[in-house]
Amino acid sequence: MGNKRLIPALSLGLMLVTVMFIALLVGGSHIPSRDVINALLNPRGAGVFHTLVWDVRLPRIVLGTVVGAALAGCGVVFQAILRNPLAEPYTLGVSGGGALGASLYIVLGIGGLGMVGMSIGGCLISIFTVYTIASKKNFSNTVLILAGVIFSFLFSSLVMLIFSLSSTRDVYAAVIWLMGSLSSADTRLVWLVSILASSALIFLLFFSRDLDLLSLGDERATYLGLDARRSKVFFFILASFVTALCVAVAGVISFVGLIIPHFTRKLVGPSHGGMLPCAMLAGSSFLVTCDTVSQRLLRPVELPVGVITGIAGGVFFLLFLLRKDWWGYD
Amino acid sequence: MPVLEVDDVSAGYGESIVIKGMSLELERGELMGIVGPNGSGKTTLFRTMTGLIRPRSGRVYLKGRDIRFIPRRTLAMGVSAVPQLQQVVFPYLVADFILMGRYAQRGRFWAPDKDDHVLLEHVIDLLDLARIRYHRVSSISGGELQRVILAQALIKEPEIMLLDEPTSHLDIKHQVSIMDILKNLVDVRKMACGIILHDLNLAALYCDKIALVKDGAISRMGRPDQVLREEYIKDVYATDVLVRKGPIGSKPYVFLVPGIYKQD
Repeated sequence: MGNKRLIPALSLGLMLVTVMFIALLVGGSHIPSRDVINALLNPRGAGVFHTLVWDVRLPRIVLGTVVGAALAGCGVVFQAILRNPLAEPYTLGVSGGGALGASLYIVLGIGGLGMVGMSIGGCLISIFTVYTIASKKNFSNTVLILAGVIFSFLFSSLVMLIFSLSSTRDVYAAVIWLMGSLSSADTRLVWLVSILASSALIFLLFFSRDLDLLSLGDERATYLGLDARRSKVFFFILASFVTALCVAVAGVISFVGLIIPHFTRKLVGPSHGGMLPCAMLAGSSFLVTCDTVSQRLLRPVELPVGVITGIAGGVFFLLFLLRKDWWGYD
Repeated sequence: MPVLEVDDVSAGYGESIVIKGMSLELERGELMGIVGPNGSGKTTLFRTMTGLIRPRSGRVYLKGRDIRFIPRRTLAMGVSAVPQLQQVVFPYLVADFILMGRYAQRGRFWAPDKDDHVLLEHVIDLLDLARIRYHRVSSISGGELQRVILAQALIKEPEIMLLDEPTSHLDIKHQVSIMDILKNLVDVRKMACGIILHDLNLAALYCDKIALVKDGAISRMGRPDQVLREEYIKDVYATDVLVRKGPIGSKPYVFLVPGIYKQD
């Protein structure tokens, strides 16, 4: 039992460390490997390479690690509480609100809160709205999903409305943001989000049994001893806030939160005690890898990382979907 | 004192009231069958007895305590409830799935230990699950899933068990074996068991007491021979039946009457 869980987790951990190290070595701009290692070994050093490694590459990799883990972890949570293998962190409309907030800021220049403040604000509004609607209907899964889908559409229509009324240059900037990027300019913000999100994720790991129970349905979870409604609200709020943090700092990075939970469920089984930490580790590796690819592929042009995750995830998903019985659902 | 008492309960969903002023008592060492037509309120009664839905009026008492004030986990320790069969979405291993039944006793910070595994082996034996213990719950048959779910409910060794149509997906061998297991727990361990059944004859064969439900109220209550009478069944189900004394344990046996044999 212990070994069965530990081995995949350790392998994924090892993989993450390797991926992070390679990402440090490779990066977007050309730095000789020896200089990267030198810079790493001398935290108090100086020079261009030193700055690039410590102030550009490292925060970016940390952000990729945290956002990857957060999206995958939240994907696991949403799939479990909604009992729906197609759910993902954006299913309940968080990203729609974030996108609207960001578009208002980028395109119309509205908002004194800055870009991050505006997108966080948008996320919070959509979380609050979906929560309010669902609370009137006893948090049934159907109502939650429908409310999420409705608000996603509503917000994306508003985003389109804003786009249709604005100049091309601003729209271009907003579209690039929407596709997701880890090249946040503000290092302090990266650290803040990383600390907040990773503490939330670690906290979440203690509740994997509750996720097991909730994934059987509210009624059965209740009979097994869980206050299903309270627990669902707890997971909904926590995972939505973590997702909101990711959206605010990195835009809407697609597919990580959908594909990684499936991949891990196949790898270690659906029990959340093993699956949740593995999904987080796998999500980090995947996103950091995709981010490195996005910087290298058409250098010096940097592609939005959401495009790479979408393509890589889509192809990957398709390949395995075509293999019969791979997912264990049928 | 009854272990579970439903006292003048009305309950329903949203605006609609499904059961009106129901009362019943479940004692230790008693197997009670709840029968009645579709839509008569059996499942609503079940959900009220398990504390899932709050009564609009009236009370449900567990050993004299109003269940509204009993925390969910405490309630789940003593009462195992098995709702109607519903597919499991995620492919848990049968053994892991059964062990989830220990949550109420063990809480969220827990890894299964020797005791849990002893109990696991016991219920796997009891419910004839050895063959499928390493299968995934998403890929077994409905009957197998029903037994796995029963195993999950039994692994916490409950004092009270409430079941909503537990035999409806089972073949006759497993119907009998499950009813035998429940009957045995009731007789030997003095468990209290309330069970919703569709099969009147199964109810007659096993239950100490039968509650016949009609339109959200209990229309008859008593021993099988007191309740399963032609005129009562005709009244509640609005269909013709013949009731004879069956060959086994001289319990009443209900015969259905197909339309082509009906005399006018």
